[in-house]
Formats: sequence, structure tokens, C-alpha cells
Amino acid sequence: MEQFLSSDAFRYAVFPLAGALLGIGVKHVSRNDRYAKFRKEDLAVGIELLLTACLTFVALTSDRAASLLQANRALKLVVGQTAVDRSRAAELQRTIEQLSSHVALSGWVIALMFLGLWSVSSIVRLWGWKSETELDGKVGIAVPLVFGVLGLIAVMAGAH
Amino acid sequence: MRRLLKYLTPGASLIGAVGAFLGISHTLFRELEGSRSLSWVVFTVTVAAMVGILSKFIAEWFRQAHAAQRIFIAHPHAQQQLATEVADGLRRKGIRVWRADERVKPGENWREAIELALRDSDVLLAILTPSSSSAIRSEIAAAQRHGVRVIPVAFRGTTLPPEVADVSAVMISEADPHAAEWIVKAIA
Repeated sequence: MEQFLSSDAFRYAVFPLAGALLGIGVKHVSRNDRYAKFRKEDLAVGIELLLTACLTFVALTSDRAASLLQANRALKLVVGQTAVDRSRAAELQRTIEQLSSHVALSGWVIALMFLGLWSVSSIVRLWGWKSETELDGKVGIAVPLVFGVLGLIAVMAGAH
Repeated sequence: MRRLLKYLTPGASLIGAVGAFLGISHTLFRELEGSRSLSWVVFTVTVAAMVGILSKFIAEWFRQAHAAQRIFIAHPHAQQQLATEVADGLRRKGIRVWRADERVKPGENWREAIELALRDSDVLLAILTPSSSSAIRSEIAAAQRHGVRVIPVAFRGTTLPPEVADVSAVMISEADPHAAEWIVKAIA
């Protein structure tokens, strides 16, 4: 089980698709009971998924930044000692390098995700509706859904 | 200037979406380069795209497989009593019933509510009398537009409107005290 939970299949396929499925289920069961029959509009959870992914990624990045600060403080302590523990310092440096590269990249990913969120919302508003109440399958549902799962995948890749 | 602004939002949205998609994909490709994870990413994105594109058929399949039957009852105001008895009888049989006089609240757009409810129904039960209003005819037309089956229930002496002239109707007599029971038995 642990092996499966840490596998690529779970991280990049089961988790994003299960997230989308759960979103669809929640949307369907929480809809006004008067019109509770399953509709294709219930599948339109892409924007919600992307928003969740954006916010999770922001939280993840701030966690990374906090770890970076901690590693820097630890390195300062190690270097400040009279007898410097070289292997510990090298290990900390490696960690700092890794975390710094992640944090540097995360800024761009967050910017891209929020740009995607704005763009997809505008596209759905402009071209995603067939009528007052009916969404278009491709522009209104498929495009946001692709962005939503891509956002979740980015979060999983970032957490790795 | 106005023309420029008109094209600014759609243009920026498209460029933004393409840019965000390429940017996130590029970052993922760089991070996962050479690993098998990339094939899982492609698989997941493809599944999501297919779910969206086939959303209409998925929803249709889900409805047919899981949803309880839903009946929309359209009736003239004078037949409220009969409609209530029929609705009660159908509900006792586990069928979900939608009636405008029960569901549309004051201040609500009734045309929109009826249109939405008809879209979500499996059957429209139209109670027709010799003095039926044009509202029922427009509900029948809307139901047929959305592919909803129409069952006319007509009082003897009623001429069926052209929309359902070829549809077999349940005929009832006004004096029959068991009319509601008969209707429920005929359609449930």
C-alpha cells in the first residue's frame, strides 16, 4: 500500500483524477434538490481544481521557504563553530541548493498557475457557454478540466 | 480605442491560457524528464480532456444508470386537486415529481425554473382539459425540444394539441373519483 501511495501512478494519475471525481461528486450532491439530476455541468470542476492547486502550491512554497531558512540557520551554526564539521556543512549546502532551486522555480509556477486561472475563467465566460444554463463540452468543461488536473500534477511534482 | 479594448480581454485570455499551459507543461517536462512519470501525466491530461469532450454522453449514461425517474406534471390551475393526488400517488411509488405550483417561489423567474426542471425530467405528464391554456402547450413544446417523453392525460372531449396529436393519451372522465389512481396505475 505504501509503495502504491508513493508510486508515480498514484502521484500523477490516481490523485489528480480522484480529486476531479470527488469534486464532481460533491458538486452533484450539493446542487439544488429541485434539479438534482446528473448533468454534464456537474463535470465542470476544472476551475475549482486549479484554484485549489494554486493555493496548495503557495502553501507548499512557503513551507519550502521556511525549510530553506532553517537550513541556512543550521549552516550558520555549523560554520560558526571552531572545528567545522565539513560533511555536515556539505550536506546542509546541498539541501540549501535544492531548496533554493525549488523556491526559485516555484515563483514562476505560481505566476503561471494564477495566469492560467485568470485566462481559463475568462475563456469559459467568453466562449464556454452554449446557453444561459448549458456549458459547452469542449471550451466550458474540457479546457478547465485539463488545466485543473495539470495544476494538481504540478503540485504533486512540487511536493516530491 | 474601444475596438482595441473589445479584443484585449479575449486576446489576453487566449495568450495567457496558451502561455500558462506551455509554461506548466515545460516545467513538468523538465522536472520529470526521462522518468516514467511523464507518461502518467500525459495519460491523466488525456483522460481529463476526454471526460470534458464526452461530458454530454457521460452525463446521459449516468442518468440512465442511476437516476430515479422524474416526472414533471403540467396542469391547468383548475386541476390542482387532481395533480396533487397524482403527484402523491407517484411519490408513493418512488418517483420524483416536479410541479411548478409547489416549486416556483414568489419572485422567482418561473419560465426559467420550468425550463430547467423540464431539462431534468424524464417524462412530462400533461393534464389537458377542453380549456387548457397555451402555457401547457409551450411546456409540451419545451419538453419535446429537450427530448423528454410526453404523456398526455386528457379529459374526455378534449382535442389534443397538434404537438401530441399522434401520442397515445390516457383518457379520463371528469366525474371519475378514481381518476388520479387510474393515471398513476397507467404510467407508473
